[in-house]
Parts: sequence; structure tokens; C-alpha cells
Amino acid sequence: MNHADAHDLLAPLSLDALDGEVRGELEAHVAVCAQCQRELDDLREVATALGTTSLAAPEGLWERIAARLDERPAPIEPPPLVFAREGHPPSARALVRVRRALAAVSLVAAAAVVALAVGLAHESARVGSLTSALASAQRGAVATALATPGHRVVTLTSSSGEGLATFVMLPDGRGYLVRDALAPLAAGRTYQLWGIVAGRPVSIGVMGRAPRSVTFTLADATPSALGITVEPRGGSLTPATTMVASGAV
Amino acid sequence: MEDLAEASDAQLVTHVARYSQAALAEVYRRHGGAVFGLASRVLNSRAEAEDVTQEVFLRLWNAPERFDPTRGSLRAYLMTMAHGRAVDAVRSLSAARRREAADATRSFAPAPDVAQRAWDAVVSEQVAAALAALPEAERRAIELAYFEGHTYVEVARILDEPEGTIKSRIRSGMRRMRGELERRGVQGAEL
Ligand SMILES: [Zn+2]
Repeated sequence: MNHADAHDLLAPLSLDALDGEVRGELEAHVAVCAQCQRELDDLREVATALGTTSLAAPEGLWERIAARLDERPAPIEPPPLVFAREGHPPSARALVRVRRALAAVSLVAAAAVVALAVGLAHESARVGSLTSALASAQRGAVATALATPGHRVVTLTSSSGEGLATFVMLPDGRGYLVRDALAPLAAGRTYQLWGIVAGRPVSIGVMGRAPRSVTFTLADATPSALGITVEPRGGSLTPATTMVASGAV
Repeated sequence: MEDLAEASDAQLVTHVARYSQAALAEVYRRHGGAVFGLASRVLNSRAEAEDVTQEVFLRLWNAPERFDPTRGSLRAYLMTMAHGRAVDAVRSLSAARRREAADATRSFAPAPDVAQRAWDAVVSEQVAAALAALPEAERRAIELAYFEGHTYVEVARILDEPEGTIKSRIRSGMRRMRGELERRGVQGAEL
């Protein structure tokens, strides 16, 4: 379908008033024509206004939706933002596993309370298109970070020494993924980034199955090392046995 | 996590992408009523409108990356999905079954997001006024398509007019609607 014919049909399409072949052809054109896409997006907003009522959803409907979310494999909240758990330290075994995994890194055992506030702007392949709009801003941020005095470049390597991920960290606690060579994971798995703070692994956040842009902010604490593990989707509270990549800060 | 009630729609979706049920609940609080309202208007059936509403929110849960904030509002994304599904359902139902399915869709429990509902009430008032300002022929074509789920070809048959005429009536009607809504201060970004 050419642009003129397509453009002619955008208003009916915005009302879902097309079907069959015509609809398929039109949608194929819209997918590759920025002008038609913009026009259709605009018309959809008008249609949305047209369909707006002040009805409330029926009582109990949310509960039925929520119940179906539970059919999914163990939805897990993102890792906690603050670790301040005197008396609830990570289990000794978890710590040992991390020590082993990060043997190259000097870990300071300490029982100090650690508070690490983390804000992950973009962390998951699930937010791929959400972050696409921000991707260029992200590249700009990375470039700016690399030009900022006092920045540190942290390279995380596999046990065989292969460079798998490079972060740039700023003195104010912000950090960005500069590049990575992490293979995309199977569905249901995610990469998770850890900081070793006062000898303890602290979750910085999940990075998704195929990390692209990762931004984080560390408040009040500077990790001595970063590590990446593979975890079940949603992330874990304590790291998996094996770090796929780690590096001293 | 920051206060979800303060988060933008786009921020909420990034939380949904991280499997935050609380974020999905907040999206529902803001938009569940409108999604259900549109579905029940098209389907004329509370049970089927509930099914569509469930599908829409489960879809957002399962594929949040489908929402592209650079292309429009989350409200429009959800409403577009709801309308598409409602229309598919309507086209698969026989006319008799549709009449049969027409049960009460008027008295529902209040939605938690009062401010959103108040705004929606303003929008729907303005939309009614904007619709009323359209030439009768344009309004009729748009209503038959959007609310009754007819294709524009079917609308042409119902109104006994050439397809091309209906197509251009829908086009000019939608353009006029957009102008009317903008004039009345209802714009896409505010929905
Ligand atoms: Zn085009």
C-alpha cells in the first residue's frame, strides 16, 4: 500500500473500522512510515478521548486480575533499596560463596550496618522500547561521565579474564554501563549487578536478560568491587554461587 | 521504591517491567475504570467487558515493553488495546447474542482514583459537546464505527452511502473532533 492510500485510511484504522487484508496492509505500511505512525498516534488519542467515561471498574475485578498474576512463576519485587539489617546479615554461606567467587578481590569482613540506596533507571530487556527514547540521552550521559574528573572505569571480567562489562562510576555515586559482552539469557533469567560493600554483597539491581542501558546511583557507600551474577527473573536477595564477571573498583 | 502514586505513567510501566504488582495496581487505579468503561460501551456486556479489561492489564504485565512512551499516552495505549479486543469480540458475536448479553452496565463501585475520575468526567462532557458540534453525518459514521464496532464498509452499507463517502466523513469528523477537543482544552497529553 502506498503512502497516499494509507494516509487516507488512518482515521478508520484509529477507530478499528477496518478488517481483513486492508488492515494488514495498512498496518504494515504504518510500521515503516514515520509520518503515518505519528498521524495514527494522534488519531488514537482523539479516539481515546471519544471512549473516555467516568465509569469505575467493577468491584473485585482487580482481585481477579491480581489472582492471574500469581499464575506466573514467582513474581519478585526488585531488590530492596536499602540494606540496613544489623542482626540480619547475609547468611554465612552466601558470603562464603561470594568470597570464593570474588577471590581476586580483597573483601573486608565487617558487621557494620550498610545503607545503600539504589535507583535503577533502566534495567531490563522488558523495558527495551521504554528506554529506546532515552538511549541517546544515555549515550550522552556516558560520554559526559567519561569526561568528568574523578570518574573511575570498572571492568568486570570472567574467570578466564575476558572483559564482559565496563562501567563508569562518578564520585557522586552515579554509574553507567559503558559496554558489555554479556550473552542474552534464556527467558526467566536476568543478570544482576552486585556491589561489595564492607565485605558484603549488596544488590545494585537487576539488569535484564540482555542489558543495554544500565544506570544506577549508589548513595552513602562505595563498593570495593562489582560483580554480575545470573539470577531468576526479578533478581535475588543473595547472589548465585558463581559470578559471571567481577572487577575491583 | 518511590511513592507510586507520584510516579508518571511511564515510570509505572518501568516498575511493571520489574514485576511490581503494586505498580500494575496503580496503573489499574488510574486507568482501569476507563478501560472497563470503553469495553462495556462497545460490548454492552459487563462480563465480557471484564474479560477485556483483564486481558488488557495482563498484556501490560506480560509485555510492558510494547508500550512506547514516545508514541503517546499510556491511557491511549490501554484504550486502543481495549477497543481492538472489544471490537474483535463484538464481530465474533451474533447480533442475537449481543442483545442477550446486554445486561446492566450502569451501577459500579466507585473507583479509588477520584481525581482521575473527575477528570474523566470532564473529558467525557467535553467529548459529548465536541461530538454534538460535528455535522450529523460525520458523528453518525464515527459512532457506528467506534461504539458499535462496525467497519467503515459496514457503516457505508448501514447508511446506504458509498464507501468513499464514509471514509472521508470519518476522516473529516476525526479532524474536527481533534480541533474541537483542543479548543476545549482536552489534549492527548492530558488524558
Ligand atoms: Zn505513510
